[in-house]
Amino acid sequence: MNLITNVDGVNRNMTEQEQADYLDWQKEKQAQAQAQAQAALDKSNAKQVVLDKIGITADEAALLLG
Amino acid sequence: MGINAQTSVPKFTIGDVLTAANTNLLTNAPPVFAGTATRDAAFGGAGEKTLAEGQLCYLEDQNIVQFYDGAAWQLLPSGMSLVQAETSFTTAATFSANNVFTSTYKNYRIILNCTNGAGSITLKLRASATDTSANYNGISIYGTNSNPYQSAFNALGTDELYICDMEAATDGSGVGIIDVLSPQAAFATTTQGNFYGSNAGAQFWYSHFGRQSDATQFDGFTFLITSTGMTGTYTVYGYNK
Repeated sequence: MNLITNVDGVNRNMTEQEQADYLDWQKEKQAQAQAQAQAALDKSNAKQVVLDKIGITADEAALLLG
Repeated sequence: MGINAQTSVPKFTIGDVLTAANTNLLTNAPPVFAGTATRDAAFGGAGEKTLAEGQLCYLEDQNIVQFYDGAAWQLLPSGMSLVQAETSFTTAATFSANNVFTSTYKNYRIILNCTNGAGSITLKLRASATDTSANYNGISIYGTNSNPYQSAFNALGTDELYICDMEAATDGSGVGIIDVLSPQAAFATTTQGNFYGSNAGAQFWYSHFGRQSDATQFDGFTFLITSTGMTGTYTVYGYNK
């Protein structure tokens, strides 16, 4: 599969080197995005555990902290 | 040369017969010239007006209106000037613009209008057609209708600036503005902007603040996306000093 790049308005296929560089970059960024999403999920879960312990909802907690 | 272009700005004297051609010239307000050479040759000759402060003109080759300040022709004052006219890209994993940041302006605005693509959009600055991939720091403050206050610092690392996510065609995501401040100065370049994005069916609104700390004098930029190539347009403006 040829990936496309556009330079100064001209669409063209990436060179082999450009494509290899892009695919390396893409792999790294997708891993970072996944890690970030997981971290957000972990944080949300941890928050819920605390809310469950004290027996209030997230909206009630927001009222208290607001 | 267009149908309204003229090669002189006539000066009439008492008793001259005003022809239809003369009248047509007079209804050019301002006078229209093919370019600067014909503009400069149109004043001061026999039967021509003397160039003086306040004179206006339109140049066909540049599509601009100018005024004469008594010493030189100047652009009409405006807040911004078009640097790179709307430029299209199609299913592009990356797109780059070279030589758009110059010493003519200090600060620039990029308007991005994606109509298709998916993934995270990021931005790198570049000089001499080479992207810089280090020393970026940026924060995205973003929200959805159910969780309006979120933020992420260096969301996708320090090798570029994270701009926003987009995931589908024609939902309006991947659309926004970003200002690039002092890219040509030999010190840090800062960026800030606002984008609409989407991810996993949720609508996201992003405010972006970024910085590249090198003393590099950048002359261009590259946008990248992590999944499906982008289709859309970008336009670059310079803020007049």
